[in-house]
Amino acid sequence: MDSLQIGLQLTVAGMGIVFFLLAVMAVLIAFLSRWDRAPVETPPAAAPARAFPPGLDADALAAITIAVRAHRITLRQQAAPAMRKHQPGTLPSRWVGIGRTRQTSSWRSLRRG
Amino acid sequence: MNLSFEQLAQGILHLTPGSLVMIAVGGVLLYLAIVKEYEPMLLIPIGAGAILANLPLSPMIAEEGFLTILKKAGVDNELFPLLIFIGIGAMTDFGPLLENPKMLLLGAAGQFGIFGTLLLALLLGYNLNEAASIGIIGAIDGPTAIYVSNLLAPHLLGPITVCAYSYMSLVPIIQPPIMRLLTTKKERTIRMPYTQRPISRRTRILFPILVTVVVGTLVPMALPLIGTLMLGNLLKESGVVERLTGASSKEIANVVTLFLGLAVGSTMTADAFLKVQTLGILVLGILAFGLDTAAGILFAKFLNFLSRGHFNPLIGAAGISAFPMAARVVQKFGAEEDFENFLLMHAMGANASGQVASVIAGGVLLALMGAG
Repeated sequence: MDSLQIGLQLTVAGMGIVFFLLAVMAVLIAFLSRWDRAPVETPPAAAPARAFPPGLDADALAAITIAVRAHRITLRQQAAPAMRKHQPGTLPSRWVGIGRTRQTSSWRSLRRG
Repeated sequence: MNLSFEQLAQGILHLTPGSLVMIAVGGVLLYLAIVKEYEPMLLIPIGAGAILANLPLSPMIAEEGFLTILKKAGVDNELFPLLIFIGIGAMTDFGPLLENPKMLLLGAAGQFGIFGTLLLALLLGYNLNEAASIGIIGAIDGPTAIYVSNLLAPHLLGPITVCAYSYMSLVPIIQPPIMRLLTTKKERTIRMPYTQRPISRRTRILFPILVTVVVGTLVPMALPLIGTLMLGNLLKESGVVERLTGASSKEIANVVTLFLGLAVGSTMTADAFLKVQTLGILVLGILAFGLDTAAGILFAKFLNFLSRGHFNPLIGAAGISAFPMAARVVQKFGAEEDFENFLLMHAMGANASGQVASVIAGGVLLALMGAG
């Protein structure tokens, strides 16, 4: 019976102290948050309206931009050296690849095949 | 040289029914961890530790055995739970709590299970130290349970740890019936608007320092628990020690979890575990979880009354330490009634406060018991 009485005292005191401590913490955090407000981010200024050349609207301008980019890619591909004659993964391409490896790998003995 | 077949058969000769039962218990823990995925990080090492300790003449629990060394190195002196707390702190985001500090009160209410279970354990005939150790299961926080029970009743460490961790994974099963029982449909559908409030970096850094200083000054016995938890959080929020934060939350936490699980498993020997007491602990443990949930909901109902019907009582169920599982359970349960009711962020605030509150409650209990 004595231990039950101590248990009841523990319960009342324990829950009371836990509530008190957390209430103190809540008040302190509230003060801290109020004192140290995060700076409000100002929204970025709206971009100025884009001026189109006479006779062109937004769609036409977009189509021209895409065409110029596609043309630039084509030019780059044409300017690049031809690396292979066959599609990658096909049989001739593999033979070419193996042959080049043999030619360029000095660490590999040519005699051993 | 004579061949000693007798020596070879020593293992089989020393098998006892008790050790066989404990090996089976270890097997059940492994099953729960691997098949059911109940807290596998802890239950696999605990199950393995139980099996290794109960094999006949196990040299691993001899005086200089592997498991004995682990236990002496990190459990007897409380090192491992505290190292894990640094990892937990480094993993936890207290942002939702800082946005709404009132939620701390829900965390306080969610600790009633500790003291309610303590009373029940006293009624069942456990002594005060044992009852307090069983009650700490209600903190729903594994490291706190290990820390407190190892100080107050080290002989109950095994069953209490198994209870704390295995029931923690059952939160989604334990909580919903209580939530349904204690709330009306109208209460469950209360919507609470949420607007995210930016929290400055300075506040995030000051929070762990403030909590450590205040709690450490008012309840020095809670300092090891709260101090390590907040140290981990300070590492994370400082933003300048990424490697230490990563090591605390990953490598250190993982290694220590393995060692802690094995050491706790090694305490589950037949003579220490196979008692009527253990059965009582298993029942009281589940009651502790239920009492926590019920107290949290009832306190949230009180807040709902004060706010004239603007506070959803379900959020009270999240005021426990099972982070973020309890918040998810609240959100899911609320969404079952009203699909467009978003309680998650409020519940996360209550859940984070439950984590702080459980550590404080553990320290308060130790202080009141005069332990340490």
